Amino acid sequence: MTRSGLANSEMGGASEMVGRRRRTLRAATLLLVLPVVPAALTAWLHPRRPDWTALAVQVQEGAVVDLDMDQIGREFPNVLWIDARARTDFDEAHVPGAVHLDESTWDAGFSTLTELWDGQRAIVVYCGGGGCLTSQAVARRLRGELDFNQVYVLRGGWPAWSTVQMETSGAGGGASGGAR
Amino acid sequence: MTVGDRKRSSSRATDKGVPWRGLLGRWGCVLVGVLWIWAAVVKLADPGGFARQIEGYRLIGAWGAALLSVYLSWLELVLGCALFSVTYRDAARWLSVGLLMVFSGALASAIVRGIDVNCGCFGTGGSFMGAYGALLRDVVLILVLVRPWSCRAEGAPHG
Repeated sequence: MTRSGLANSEMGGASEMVGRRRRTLRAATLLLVLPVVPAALTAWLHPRRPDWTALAVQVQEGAVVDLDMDQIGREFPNVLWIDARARTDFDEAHVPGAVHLDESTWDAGFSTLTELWDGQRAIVVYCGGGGCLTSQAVARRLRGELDFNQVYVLRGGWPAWSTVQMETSGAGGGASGGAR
Repeated sequence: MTVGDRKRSSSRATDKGVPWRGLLGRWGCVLVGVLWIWAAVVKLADPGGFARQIEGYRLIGAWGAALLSVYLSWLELVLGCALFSVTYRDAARWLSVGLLMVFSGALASAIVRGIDVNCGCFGTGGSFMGAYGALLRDVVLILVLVRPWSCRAEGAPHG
């Protein structure tokens, strides 16, 4: 091959590479755009989609996301439980290892919490169930004071936890009483 | 013979000299493709749970994590399928490298900050490797993808 032929061939190779890079860039753009539509459908229709309503409330009012027992067991097997019910209810029975914390006895409960909490474990707050709002208030305050996002509320509260315990360990060995 | 042809023929010669290179070159993309698809399917089963895993990294807020959870799951599925396609393989390969670098950065940042994250790499099922193992796996996958002899098939276009 002559020198000019070789130079032409080199130029052809360079333009081929530029063309290939452009094709790759176009393909990459397409691959990045392609997931948008199915992602939008997933966000809208998936039965286990992120809870957009809760997120919207969380942003507007500082509310905390609530999780059910299944979600907690699956995603946060090692949570720190906070019992936001009245002291008498807590003394009667509570989740093993739970810390009692409510607005009226905040300082005492909060110091116990800081002793037990390692700064990493997710925190789940529960109250008496049936639409009680104490757990939301406690969780919101905790999130602010600990500057920690992974503070959740147990959906259904204490009755939800008791029900699961009764289902898993039989009617007699259900909700643990007096564990401290 | 163009520059590209010469590079390709030189690469094939190298592949012949070191058999495992050819094998890895042929199967590297398949391995990463299968992993992407597996990870995507697991995450798509529970996008809400994956969103909370992302939030656990404390790098973005709850809304960002929720949006990312649905987009990333589908992006991984698209990349996994594209790695099997001759036309889109090269783009998918470089996007995969970018995505793995982002994941590695997030994992490294969590390790440095002392955050005990559940990797979230394969959904909410818990990590069987831990953060260090997941980081190592991501680095290995990046190396598999960036090697010049990786993801090549005879006669297929590649860069």
